[in-house]
Amino acid sequence: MPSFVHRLFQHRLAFAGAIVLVLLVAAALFAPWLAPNDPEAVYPAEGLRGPSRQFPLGQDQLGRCILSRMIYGARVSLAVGFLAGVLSLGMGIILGSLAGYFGGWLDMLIMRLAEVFMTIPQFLLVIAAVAIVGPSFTSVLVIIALSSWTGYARVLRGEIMAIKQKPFVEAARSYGASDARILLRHILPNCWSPLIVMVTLNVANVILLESSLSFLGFGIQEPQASWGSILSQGRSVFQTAPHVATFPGVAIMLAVLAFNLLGDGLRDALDPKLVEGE
Amino acid sequence: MLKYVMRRILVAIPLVLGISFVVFGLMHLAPGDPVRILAGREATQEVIDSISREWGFDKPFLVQYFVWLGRALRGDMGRSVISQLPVSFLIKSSLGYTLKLNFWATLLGLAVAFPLGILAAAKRQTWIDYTASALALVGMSMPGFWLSLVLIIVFAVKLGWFPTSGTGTWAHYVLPAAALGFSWAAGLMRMVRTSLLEVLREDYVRTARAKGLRERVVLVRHALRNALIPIITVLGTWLAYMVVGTVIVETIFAWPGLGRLLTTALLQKDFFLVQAIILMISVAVVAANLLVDIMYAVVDPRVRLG
Amino acid sequence: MAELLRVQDLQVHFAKRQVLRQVSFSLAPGETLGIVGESGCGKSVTALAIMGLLSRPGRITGGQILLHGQDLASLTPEERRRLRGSSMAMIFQEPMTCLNPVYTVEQQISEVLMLHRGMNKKTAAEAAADYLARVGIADPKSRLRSYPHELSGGMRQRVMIAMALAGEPELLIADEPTTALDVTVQAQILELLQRLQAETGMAMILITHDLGLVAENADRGVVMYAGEVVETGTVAELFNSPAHPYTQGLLNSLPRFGEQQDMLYSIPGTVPRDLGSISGCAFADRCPQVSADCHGPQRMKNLSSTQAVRCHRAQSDSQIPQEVQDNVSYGRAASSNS
Repeated sequence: MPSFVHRLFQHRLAFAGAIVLVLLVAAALFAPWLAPNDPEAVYPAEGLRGPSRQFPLGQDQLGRCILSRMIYGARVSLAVGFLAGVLSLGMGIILGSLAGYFGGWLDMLIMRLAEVFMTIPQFLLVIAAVAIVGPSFTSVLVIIALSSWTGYARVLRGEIMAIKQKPFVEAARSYGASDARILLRHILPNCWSPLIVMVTLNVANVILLESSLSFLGFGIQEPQASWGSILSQGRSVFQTAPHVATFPGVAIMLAVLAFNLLGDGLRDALDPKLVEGE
Repeated sequence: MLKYVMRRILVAIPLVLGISFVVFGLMHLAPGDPVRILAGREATQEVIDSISREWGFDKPFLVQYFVWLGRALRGDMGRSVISQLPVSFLIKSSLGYTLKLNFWATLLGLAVAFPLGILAAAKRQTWIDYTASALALVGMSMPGFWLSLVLIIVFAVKLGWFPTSGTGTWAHYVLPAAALGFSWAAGLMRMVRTSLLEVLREDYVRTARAKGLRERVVLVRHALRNALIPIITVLGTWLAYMVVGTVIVETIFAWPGLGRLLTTALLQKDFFLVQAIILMISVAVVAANLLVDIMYAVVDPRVRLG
Repeated sequence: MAELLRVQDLQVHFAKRQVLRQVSFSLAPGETLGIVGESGCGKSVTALAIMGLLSRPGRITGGQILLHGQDLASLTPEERRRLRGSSMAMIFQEPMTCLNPVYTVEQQISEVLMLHRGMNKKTAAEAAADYLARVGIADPKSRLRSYPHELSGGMRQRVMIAMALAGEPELLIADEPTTALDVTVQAQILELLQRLQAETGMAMILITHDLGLVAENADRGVVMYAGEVVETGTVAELFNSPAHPYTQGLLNSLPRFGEQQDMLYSIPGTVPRDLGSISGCAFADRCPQVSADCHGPQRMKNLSSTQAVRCHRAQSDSQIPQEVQDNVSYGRAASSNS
């Protein structure tokens, strides 16, 4: 483990990504202390004003402080990203383990299901489901999680099928370890590397997905703010007041970029084979 | 080869059935009667009853599904509850716009991704590589809707080179095609680069160099041809990528294609139309994957027998 | 005797790590030189350096490689490229991965003929079939259309050899050409190489970790250890009067002909990784005869007009340990210790 951490720190881009993420998470956690204004306080007379001393990133149509809304929006955007990432990882682990470890008809069923979910473009599935169920923080979160487990399940199933054959698993079985014990103690710990990388990249994808939904009006609803919904506000006025759309866009890009960089770095650090020139 | 293609098609059939089942099942997500969702917000009890009778919604779930599937197979996906026009007609009239836009976006993406990816791999760990890779990372992380807005502000509003939205002339294509093609191209470029770098470490590339071939020949004839094999997998996700982009870009640029048809239908709760569009696009994805499998066999001789 | 190739004090670094320290040897036209040593001692790097195929971060940091007396470093990359495949060709250890999987045998052999011999596609195809026949592939016309995955390892190595021959090289470098093959196929491939060498008059560098192969196939041998040459000599000299303790160790680890053995001797320890820190004899910490003098710089000492050794203990009338003298005749090394 120390050598892995060392390699990750050596990866300058991944390190930069990690720092950006820490800052974003801190902004979300300490929002009430960091936000210069109340994110929901309206000043209709001052709508669409550009950056000023009191409102560092300007104001939206209702005169609300864009910076404050972005800081609170970070809570929503990052929470959806992390929670959907963790939930779908959990689903993927359960379904992938069942398929890979037990095989047979269960494997067949789960994998066919995964194939169906991988073929229907996730964005369409999510946007239609949210429109039917009704958009809210919870529905967006759950629906995204329900539709992103396939990648984890596939990878885990493959890893398990490969590891199942290895002598140390045979050995564990020969002295009478139970299926659950073999799975938890011997197989899963060997699968972490690809899963960690996938989670990182998946969170980036979820953040993009949520912001696209909110942008089109099928995500987080007013007055709650997410980066996508602030940007959506800015869409109708972006020709006259581009600042409303610009700053949340930058925030989304930074967050996604940071996760992507971290994911790349983790992949390199966890898989020394891939490091060039060695 | 023919046998291989046939087998692929046979495998695709249960997949298409599974997809249709999920798409149909979507309408049952909300509590209550799916007819109420399908019939739209402002439907009267009469309309609801007639739809319910027509599509067998008074019968058990599986019967409903097979009625729906049977009609879908005959190309009848219902009528729009807003315009009362057949869904198939609405789709047909907007499909052309989407295909044209996607064609140019794909062409643009390929034209950017391949040369840049090859160049970055050939000149690895130089400023060319770093610049191209950085560009790709930013491109991948940039939300498509934001890129669209930035393109409009810069090239339409500030510079006035291209129209902000609508269709008509070739100039109308430029910004939406760029917005649609760019993020896909970014991912593809990264893939071309990594895949090529991996292949360049192979023994047969050393053999090609040992033969005294020019570096360009080694790179293109020997390395790239092999690197294409994993790249084709990424091309398989092309459609899935394009779908997201299409929905967003068409909505922003007021492009009268399928994507905008879908967002409009979603806003108007016109779910017969929504169902049909999702089903059609998903089947198109299956077809695209089938095409990818066939491309595999063409590019990689080892697949043909297996 | 005119020299075909001379390697003089060659040094190679991979980034900051030195992998070749001072490698010198020469080769006459038509001669076969065996280069032996354990894996990791710089044999393959030497071969790649001669071919100009060192890939980054590897680069030549000292010394010369002369072909017909001309320093290859003075050539442009373009001129060096033209030598590859025509003046000098190389075959590799892993026939399974050295052929391009997406091209047919014909395409891969024709490529050389069209590039270096100016043939067109049609004549190249005919010539390719001839080369396949010469390397002992049955039914060459139909084999031309095969893809590499349809061929066995031995067949692929034959195709590699055909590709190498197609450029009519003066020098063929064979880097562990049989290590990855079955024992029966090994013998066939080596026999084929010898026959082709007699037919074409090309010189050959045979790189192997198996001293037995050198005995059977080479005229002279070069023993490498930790990035430097520790002993050179004719095959007879290396086998009858090995002067370096490392050469003696390699000899002792060969299975002996017609003798019952319980266990094969193996040299204790491993090849050192960090060559930069070595000041004296690199073999000192594995050497059974180590003494204080071993930790000073070691020079090549001539023992005869053909034999030289990098060991301060060696005398002109080299002291040969009794156990080695006992077996002057070695059989083919039937077992490979890889």
